[in-house]
Order: sequence, then C-alpha cells, then structure tokens
Amino acid sequence: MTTTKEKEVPVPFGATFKVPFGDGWFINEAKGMLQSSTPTGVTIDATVMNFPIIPGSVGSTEEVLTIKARAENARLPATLASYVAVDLSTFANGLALNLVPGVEDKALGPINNILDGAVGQIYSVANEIGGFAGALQTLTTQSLDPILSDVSAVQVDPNALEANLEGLATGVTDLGGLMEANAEAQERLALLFVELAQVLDAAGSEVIPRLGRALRALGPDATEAAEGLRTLNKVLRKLNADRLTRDVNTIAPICEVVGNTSQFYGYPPLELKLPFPLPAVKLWEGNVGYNSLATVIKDNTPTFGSKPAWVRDLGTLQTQLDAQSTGTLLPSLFFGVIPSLTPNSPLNDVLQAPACKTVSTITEDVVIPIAKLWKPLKMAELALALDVLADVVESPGAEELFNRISRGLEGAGRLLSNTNCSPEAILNAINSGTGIAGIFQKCGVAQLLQFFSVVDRLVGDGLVDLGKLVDDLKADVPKIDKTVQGVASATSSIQTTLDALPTEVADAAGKIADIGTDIGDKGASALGKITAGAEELDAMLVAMTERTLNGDGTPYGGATGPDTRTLAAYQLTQAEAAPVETQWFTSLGLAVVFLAIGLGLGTWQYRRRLG
Amino acid sequence: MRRTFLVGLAAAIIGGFGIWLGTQFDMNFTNTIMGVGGGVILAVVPERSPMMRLVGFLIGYVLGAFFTAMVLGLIPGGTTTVGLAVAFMVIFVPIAIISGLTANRIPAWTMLLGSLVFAAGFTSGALAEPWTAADKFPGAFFSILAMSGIGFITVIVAELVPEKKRPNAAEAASDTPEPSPDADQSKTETSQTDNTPESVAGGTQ
Repeated sequence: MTTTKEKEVPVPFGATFKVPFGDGWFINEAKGMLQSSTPTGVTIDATVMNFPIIPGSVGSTEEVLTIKARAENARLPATLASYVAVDLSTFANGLALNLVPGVEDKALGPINNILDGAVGQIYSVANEIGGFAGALQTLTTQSLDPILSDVSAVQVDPNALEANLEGLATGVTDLGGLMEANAEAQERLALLFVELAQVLDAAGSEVIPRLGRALRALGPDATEAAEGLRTLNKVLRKLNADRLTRDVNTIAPICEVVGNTSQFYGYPPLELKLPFPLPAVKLWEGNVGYNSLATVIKDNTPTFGSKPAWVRDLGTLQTQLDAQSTGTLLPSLFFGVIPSLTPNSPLNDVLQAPACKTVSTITEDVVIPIAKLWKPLKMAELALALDVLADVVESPGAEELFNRISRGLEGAGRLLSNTNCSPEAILNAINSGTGIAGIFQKCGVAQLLQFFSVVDRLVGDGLVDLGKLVDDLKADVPKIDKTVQGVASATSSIQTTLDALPTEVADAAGKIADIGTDIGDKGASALGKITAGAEELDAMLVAMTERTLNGDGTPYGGATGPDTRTLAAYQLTQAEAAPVETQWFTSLGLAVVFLAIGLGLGTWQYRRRLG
Repeated sequence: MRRTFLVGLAAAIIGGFGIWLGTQFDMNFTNTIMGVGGGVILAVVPERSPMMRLVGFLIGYVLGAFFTAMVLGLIPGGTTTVGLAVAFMVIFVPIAIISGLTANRIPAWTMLLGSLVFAAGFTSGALAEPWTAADKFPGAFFSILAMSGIGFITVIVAELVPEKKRPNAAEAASDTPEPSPDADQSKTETSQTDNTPESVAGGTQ
C-alpha cells in the first residue's frame, strides 16, 4: 500500500514530521531523524527547513526524508505533519533578525500550555472512566463524581476554549479506543455523551454551520476524528429509547387501571403485543398471591352471592391478566374500566392505593424524562462543536458563544451530579408535584440512578417472597410515599425500566466497541497528536531560530514576507516493504555468489602462484 | 610496497562497492562495514590457502552467531560478567580444538575473525533494542555474510600480486589434499619457524 499526502504551502517554510510506530515495528533506517521510545513504540521525528539555496550557505528547496521500518501484520502508521510559513518581515541586510513563524496549521494554533491543560483533562477523564469496575446497578456518587468534576472543571474562557474543546474532541476519539477494552467505561461514557449533547443545545443551533466550515478547514485528520464521532453517534442513536418509553407508557396505564396487583403478583414486564403468550400468574386459592391478597382484604368484605365479592373481582382481574399475557387485553382496560368489577369493592381500594399513584408519578415524572434523554443525541453536531477552532474564535460573536458554552458546561455538570441531593429530596420533589424539574434542582442524574438502584435492589429482594412483599406493603401503605422502603415496594414496575436501561447500553456497548476498533485502526491517537503538535511546534521554533541566527533565512519572495504566490509542496509517501524473507534470500544469494567468486578465483591464483 | 598499494586500492574499490550494494539492499550500515572489513582482512592476510581461511571464517561466523545468541538470552544472564565469560568460553574452546586438531591448517585467527565480524556487527545494535533482536537476527546473519563475501573478493588481487617472499612448499603442501600427517606436521613447523620468531619459540618447546 502506498499513500501520499500533498499540500501546497507558502515558501519559505519549515515543517516537522512525526511518525509514531507502534509495538512490533523496528526501525531499519531513519537517517538524520530522532528516534524516541514511547509507551506504545518508537516515534520518529524529523524537521525539514526549506529555503532557497544560498550560494556558499545552506538551504534547499527539496528534501527527502526516508524512514525504513519493518513489521509483520502491522498497519502503516499515520504521518503527522505540521508546517509553518516564515514571516521575514524583519529581514534586513541578508539577515532575518526577528523570525516570526506564522502558524499555518490550525491544529497547532493553541499555545502549548493550553494544549497541555486540555490534554491533561482528557487524560484525567479517560483514566477515571477506565478505572471504574462496578456495574451500572452499583453506580454511586463516589464513582461518578470524579468524572463529573473533571467535566465541570473544563473551565472555558475565550482564550482557552479552542484548545479545551479540541482536546475534548480528540479525547473522545481516544475514549473510543478505551471503550473497546472497558465495557464499564462504555456505559459511563454513554451518559457523558448525553450531557455533552445538552451542552451543544445550550450553545445554540447557529453554531453548527460555522463549525461545519471549521471542521472542513481542519483537513483530513480532523475529518477522520469527526467521522468517528459521527459513526459513534449513529450507534448511540440506536439506543432503543422508543422501547424504553414504550415500557413505561405501557406500565403507566396498566398500573392506573390494575393498580399494584399486576406487579404485586410478580408479573414480568408487560408487553401489549407479545410475540408468544406468557402464562399469567394465577390468583386463585392455593396460590401464594391469592393467600396474600386475602390477608390484605379479609376485613370488611362484602359478599357477592355465596362468595366474597373480592373473589369474583379477582376472577375478573385474572381474566384481564390472562388477556394481557396473550396480548389480547381489551382496549377498555386502557380507559380505566375493569368490566364487572364489583362497585366499591375493597379490591378497588387496593388497586387504587397510594402505592400505585406513586408508581405513576415516578414513572411519568422521572422515568419517562430520563428515558427521553436518550433520544435526542446530537452526536454529529457534538462532533462539530467539539472541533470549534480558529474561525469561531475570529467571529464577531465568539465571546458570547464562549460564555454560552461555558454556562452549558457548568449546567451539564450539575445535571450529571449534584451533591446536595438526598433520597428525601427526590421523594419531596415527587410528592410536591414539581416532577423532574424539582428533582433536578437538587439532584443530578447520578443521584437519581443511585436512588433507583437502591429501589431496584430492594424490590428485587422483595420479589423473592411475594407473600412477604404484600404483607409489608399492607403495613407500609400509609407511609409508602414518604420512605425509600415504601417507594421500593411500590415502584417495582420501575425495575422493568431500569432493567431495560443496561440492556440497551450493553447492546450499544458492543457496537461502540466496534467503533472503537475502527477508531483505533486509524493509526495514531488524536490525543497524542495534540501533544506531539505542541512538541513539534517547539522544535520548529528552535530550529528556525537557529536558522535565523545563522542568517539562512532568505526570503523566497520579497523581503516583506513570504510570497504566497510562490508555493512549495510537501508530499508524504508511504510504501510497504518487501517481505523480510526476500531480503534474507537476497543476502544469502549475494553471500554465495561473492564467496564463490572469491574462493574460486582466489584459489586459482593461489595455486597458480605456488606453481 | 607495490603489493600493498594494489591490494589497498582493490580493497578500497571493493569495499566501496560493498557499501553501495548494501545501501541498495537496505542493509544495516554497521553490518555492511563489519562484513566488508572482515572479508577484506580475510582476503589479504596471506596465511594458508583461501579455502582454509574461508572455512575458518565460516566456522567462526557461526560460532559468533551462537555467541551473540547466548549473550542475548540463549543462556540466562547472558549480559552479565559470568554470562559473557561462559559465552566466550563456549566459542573459544571449539576454536582452539579445531585449530589444534587441524594442526593450524584452519588458522585460529580466521575463526576469531568470523566470530568478531558477526558479534561486533550485530550485538551492539541488538542490545540497544533487544526486543527486535530475534526479528533482526536472520537478516543480519545473511547480510553480514554477503558483505563479507564482497570483501573477500579482494583475495583475487591479493593472490594475483603475491608478496615477494613466496610461501615455501611446505605451507602449500600442508593445504593440499591427502597429505601425510607426519610430513605435514614437520613441514608446517618448518614453515612457521621460517616466518615468525614466536613460532620458533613455540616450535622448540
């Protein structure tokens, strides 16, 4: 495979090239270049200074750098190039007294320390994400907060925004590789992406077209990174938010009509249109649920014929559950009517217990909004936003934009996690009717997930013994909307929703892993590129300063600066080497031939000399 | 004097050719230098026939490769003082035995030269990047050998323009096939006695 990159740049110019060879490569030849060992392999650095040839001095208009390296089953590494056009405005008397490099490559625009800061932050986030070991159900504030603090610590100001966001973009790309090896990080990062998407919303939609232009101006490397994010976006979009919403939408009306019964009897997740019938839980005598329910409503029970009315009502309810299990549930059920249910039956009281209302409230005010967070993932736009670069900086409204994005980032941090949260705060918000907005005033997504994980666990424990659960419920009904335990007992339907969440994430995680592989295949990490870019910039400045001090910086155009009408070009060509065995056999052949020649003629001369 | 200049000129031309050829085939420069240099030395030192010198060189070359392999990990602690000592012993002992058993028909110096050429040409670079040594080993083995072959071509000129002092018949006879062991031994000793004072001391002991 041979790849070639070519670009015209103003002359005179200097350029640096960096080729990061990964493990498995060994360098055969890199004349005049610097080899340095890195944790991932060997990196070759080279600097080219192209100036017109000055008689009696140095300078050239063409220079060829040749690196010969060999590996088996390896991909050709990417070559990172950056260059500067030399502004020789202070050229005088054959000497460029004050060399001011005009940084052409926008990727190198930020100052080193700003870049380093962004890189450090991204590394920190990556490390935090990579260090998590628990499952989603065990998500805790202690584990999530480090990420969030890092995200919120991305302090944005007009001068640093460009570097920070660029670092973030490349960091996201790197995290793609990280996700490949860490399933837990995939889940965490999915949540992070949700919030970043909201950051974008805060930044305003008018940013997008501008960022699109900025992205295109970045060149092929940035396009690759953005393309990876776009692909990632496609995967995230496949998170089945519809299913999640459908579940809660299904649960809500059934809970409203059937009340807690459907869940108290341990029925699995309710699906209106099951592809196959599921057996309904039997309520009749001898069944644990039957006995438990009988215990609950045994007092003050009216009769219907020879049997207690609730027995008949249970029969009606059983019919509904059976129909539900086969997907033939009557539409009337959705309108709040249970046919033939005894008026004023105590069963109605049970079905309409506060527990069910609590379920509905939480479902509608909390679960559904959370589920909806998964829908509007604007990753394509995010990819662009993360690549905010020079032309945004140069725009008249840049400062306002920066401020808006800054506010968005801070808001996102609070939305992700808020240490002022407590379970009581969540319950109070639910009870006060302020819904999701009230919850998020004091709590973040992390606390909500933690809260529900507790609920989930309690419910899971309780479902082991249905009879005990009903008994507990009886005692707790008056307090059910005031304690976590009560909510845990009443919100078993949320388990369905929560169970769906990691499933969807896991599905996406596998696909994200594929994307991570794709990103990894693109060669050098974008994160490394930023750091390398800063190093290259330093190296270039040093080299060019030396040239200047030597008086080599003669302008190709006028003495007032580089003549942009006169263009130079750099071209990167990579070619695969011949198989190593070829070199072996070639050398062996040469050895045999020359040794035979030397031996034959030498011996002949030797014997002739001896006569 | 004339022979020195002619052989030197030939060595320079052939050496340059070898280096050029090495670059054409992407051979390591150190390997090329060591190979060509060793081959030239082997060609111009007029002791024993080219055949015997080459045989000795190849034996030493293989021993040098074995030495390098030992240093790089074939034996535990190959780079330690003890490891190096063991490695040296492992190759010096065979060299001494071969040289002795052949009554110096295969001179020890040729074997030592072969060992030196490979070990010096390859070991230092391999120790700098030991994780690549195994991959580079076969290529280095063949490329240094090829370069040695090129340098050895100098033997044509060296034998074409012999030293004024012709080697005596005894040396020639010792290199010819099917000699009488006793006769060869006495001739060899005679030859050595003629050539060097050290041989005189050795021969009389």
